[in-house]
Amino acid sequence: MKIILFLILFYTSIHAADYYLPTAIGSSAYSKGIGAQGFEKTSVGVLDNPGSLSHIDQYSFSFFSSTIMNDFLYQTLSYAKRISAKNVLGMAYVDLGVSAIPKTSLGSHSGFNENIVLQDSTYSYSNSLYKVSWQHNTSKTVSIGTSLTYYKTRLASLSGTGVNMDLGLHYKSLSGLTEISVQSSNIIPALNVTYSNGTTETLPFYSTVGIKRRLDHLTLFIQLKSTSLSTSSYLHSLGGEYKIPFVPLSFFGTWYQLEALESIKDSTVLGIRLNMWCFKANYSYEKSEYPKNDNTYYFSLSVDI
Amino acid sequence: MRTLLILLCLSTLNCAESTPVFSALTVESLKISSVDEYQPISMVIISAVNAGNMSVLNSDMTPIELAIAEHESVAISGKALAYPNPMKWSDTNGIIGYALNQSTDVTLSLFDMRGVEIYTEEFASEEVGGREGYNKIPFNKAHVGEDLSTGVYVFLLMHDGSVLAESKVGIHQ
Repeated sequence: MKIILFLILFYTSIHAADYYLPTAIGSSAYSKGIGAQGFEKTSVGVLDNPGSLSHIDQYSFSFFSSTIMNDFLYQTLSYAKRISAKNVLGMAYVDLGVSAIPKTSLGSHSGFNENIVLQDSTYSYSNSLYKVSWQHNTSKTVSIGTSLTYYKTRLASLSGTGVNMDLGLHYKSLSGLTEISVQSSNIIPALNVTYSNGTTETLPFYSTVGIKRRLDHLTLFIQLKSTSLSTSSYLHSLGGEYKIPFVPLSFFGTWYQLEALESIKDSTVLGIRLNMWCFKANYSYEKSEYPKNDNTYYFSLSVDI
Repeated sequence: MRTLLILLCLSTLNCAESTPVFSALTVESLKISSVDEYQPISMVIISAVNAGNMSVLNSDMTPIELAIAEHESVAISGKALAYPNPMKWSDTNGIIGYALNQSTDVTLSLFDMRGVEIYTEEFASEEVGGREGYNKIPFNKAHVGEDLSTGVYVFLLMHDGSVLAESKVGIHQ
């Protein structure tokens, strides 16, 4: 109970967000498609909610990939292993990168009577993070977890690093029909990302509270997420999954809200999951605002033993 | 060679813009894809000309769609580029430069690394950003009025929903 109160206290405080978290893109095609964090039951919990790693039986390996706007490659790798009846350890790597960004200068060019912007060369950008997680079962229904995150980014010759922590709590009713996920990321406000040019960026604190309710073949997900907007508000999401009887397939979808600078937008994601033997393959897509793509596609795969 | 009889029905015209286009049209430039090539065309009626689009009717009054090229499509010569790149967002010298082949309305759209549109700005024809020739539009924190995280952003320059140019800009504090 103390932990819950602790998380709720954090949940109600809003910090300014500055550093771009690559995980804003998502942690798996499934969690993206249900619009809620902490209900994956795979090593994705390292990225979503370390408290949800209680579902790991022996070990779990997950991979997630997406290409954004044709050029930005986003990939995550995560691994979790049960080390005792009540404890699971996990680790994850996330990378968002893009290359061939034009490096420019002003100069003269034939046909123009003023200096114009010229491309000299190209450079690349990378935004990575490394996580190490620990999960502990406090009872048959409640588990807690924590993650240590190391952030590393590079933009041309500029580099930055930072460290922070996450906390997570996961509740699962004895009947297994109801689950609650509560997590907070970057809980230590004094820890920032420091760049090689001496500037710093705040690691944005955010929290999510999600509820999962199973109704026979249909499962519903509801989540609230805190924002860094100057006007305190929460991002809502509503998702669902329908498991086809006698077939290892399920369809899922979500409507969710997202931040776009000082405004809130909404979007929808649809997807399909194949859950066979120890494999979970997820594919989902989202309508793209970027006019050169109709949709953004997400693919993730988990192996759970 | 088949004979193509074209009757121009100008009664429905409102073609102040399309007249120059229409006057440049020749029979050889017509492509009537929906007509069976083995079926002689006895009559094609151009029933309306409106802003560059024609409704063409076959002799049996079935519609045939034609598209007439506009004078010269709006285009950006070369690349649209941000300067400096990478850019210190708080500096006031940040710009985006591009060369338009004609004056036209232009929209700048900025996307973050999720592919979410986070900023748009309109530039009117004949004004800075929408005039023929080289345009330098301000692109920095003071002009946009928003804090941006360190990272890479994609900007598109669009006209009438079509993408004229696309590029990336790295931004830092």
